[in-house]
Amino acid sequence: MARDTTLGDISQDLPQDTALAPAVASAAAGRRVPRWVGPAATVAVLACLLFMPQALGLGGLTTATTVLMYAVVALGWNLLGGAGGYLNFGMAVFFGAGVYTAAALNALGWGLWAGLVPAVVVATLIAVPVGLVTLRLRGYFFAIFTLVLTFLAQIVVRNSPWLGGAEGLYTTVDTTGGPRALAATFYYALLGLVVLAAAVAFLVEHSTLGHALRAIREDEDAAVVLGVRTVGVKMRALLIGAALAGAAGAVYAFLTGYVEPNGAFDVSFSLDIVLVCVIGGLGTWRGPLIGAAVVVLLEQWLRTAIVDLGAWGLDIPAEANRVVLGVLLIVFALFARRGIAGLFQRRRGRVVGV
Amino acid sequence: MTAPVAAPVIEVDTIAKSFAGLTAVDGVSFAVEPGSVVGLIGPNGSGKTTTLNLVNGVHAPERGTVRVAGREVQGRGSRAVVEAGVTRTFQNARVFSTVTALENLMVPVLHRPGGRRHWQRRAEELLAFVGLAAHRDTPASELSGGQQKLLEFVRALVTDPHAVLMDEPFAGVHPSVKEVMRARIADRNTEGTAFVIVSHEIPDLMRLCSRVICMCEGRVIADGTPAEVVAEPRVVEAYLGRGPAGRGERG
Repeated sequence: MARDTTLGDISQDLPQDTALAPAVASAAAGRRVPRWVGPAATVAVLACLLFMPQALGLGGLTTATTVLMYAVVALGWNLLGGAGGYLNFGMAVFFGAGVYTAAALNALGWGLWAGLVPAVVVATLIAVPVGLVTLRLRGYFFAIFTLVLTFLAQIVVRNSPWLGGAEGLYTTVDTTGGPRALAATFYYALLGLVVLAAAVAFLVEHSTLGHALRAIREDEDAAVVLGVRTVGVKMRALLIGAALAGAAGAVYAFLTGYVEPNGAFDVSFSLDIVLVCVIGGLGTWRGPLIGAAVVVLLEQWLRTAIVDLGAWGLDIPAEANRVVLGVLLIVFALFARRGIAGLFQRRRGRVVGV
Repeated sequence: MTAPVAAPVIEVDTIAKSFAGLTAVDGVSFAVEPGSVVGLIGPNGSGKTTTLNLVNGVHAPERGTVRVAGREVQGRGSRAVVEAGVTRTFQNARVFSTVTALENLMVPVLHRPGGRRHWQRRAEELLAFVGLAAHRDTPASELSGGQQKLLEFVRALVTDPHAVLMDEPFAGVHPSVKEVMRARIADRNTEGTAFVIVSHEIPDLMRLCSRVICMCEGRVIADGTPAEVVAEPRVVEAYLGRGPAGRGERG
């Protein structure tokens, strides 16, 4: 047996068209921005967000709160949906579970903070049987099943008198500080959840769990052959996502003041979460943060912009904004599959070294 | 270093598998001793890859048994085979293209004890072993085809298996990469890892193997040293077809 092969970097042995030396050089060029810029920018953005309630009017604060709520749920969705490649159209189920848990406990006298943990627990517990049934399915089957689950949840809640049935439940909060203080409370509660969710997403992205999820997205059969317990990995991602959605749902229950089945388990909310991640960037912790801001602000602007078209004699309903968002989804799916977050990354090496 | 294992590391006993009535593997038996390199050859469609899939747990045999390190694993799926100490590579390298070379090697160790730092060090050693250390943080999609094959090879080694099943490791790669691959297989083999290699690159295979099994139409038609197998008339006939006399007989 010949054992005389000189190793070292084999790219030196390869012809130029397959050698990677130029590629490595360009990778180094892709890291021109110092590594501290990313963390510094994150801290700066966080500082701005902390002072947002003082800077914004009540309307602006409500919009910012909505952005944060979408960001929390989307960060949760992005683990299985973005990193794992499983198109989950059922996030509204876990969100709604959080909404109804908090609302039902509020009827017993529990407040926002007390209801947060039970909402997370219930949403996570519901995700266990959902995961056991759905995570053995792949592709379209998984997507369709999760979509059906939302309708199933609506039917179950509508026929549960102890959850208010079709009439729903009211939630009450302490309003002694006035509407602005209350809005700030919801804002900070969701900001805290966003920071937690982003930290979890960052840790997962850089862990072996994150690598396994991406392996499943690319080639699940190969991952199985390598010994990855794929159902268990997907289940972990689903449970984390469900927990985050449940927490956001608990805050929403108090934010909205009234919950009913169609609002809590809203299919269009699940679709919006997918849209947020596709536009922001699938499988990266930054994507849902960017996507939530873009989608919520664009949706709200389009609503008024489309209504304004009425002044030109055009009778276009405000809901037509979803057509624009749908077109945007197609554009991103076709031409920017890594989302807006991907535009800030060079093909190799990150522009911002977070 | 591969942990010692009682002989044989793989024991296949009269396994059979058919697809839609077509028999792909028909009563194949062989054993792989620890530290050996077994070549599996045969014309296209002879059942080599299906045999690997049956050993690896991708398919369950319709009859027969597969033992890995003494444990029966047939019908228990790939994970049982991996946990028993047999890993594999594929005909077309199935690396995870959007994750880096290092992260590719971290995927098989997700459920292994030992801690991330230990496995990362192990992964870095293996990347250096095949000359990919400089590409540690390069997404696998940006590696050349040959480098992807090498990456897949060391990914199969990261858990220190008793044996590695390799499907066409030399196919479609640059000669220099092929040489690295051959040398590294030999290196690992001296450390105790057994290999079962499916290949059409007969000269490369013969330089590595202590034993060659030739399959044809789902059956083993020859099993012996490389010299014995290439001299076997049925092997020659399987690869080259019958001689002029044979063709004449067929008319």
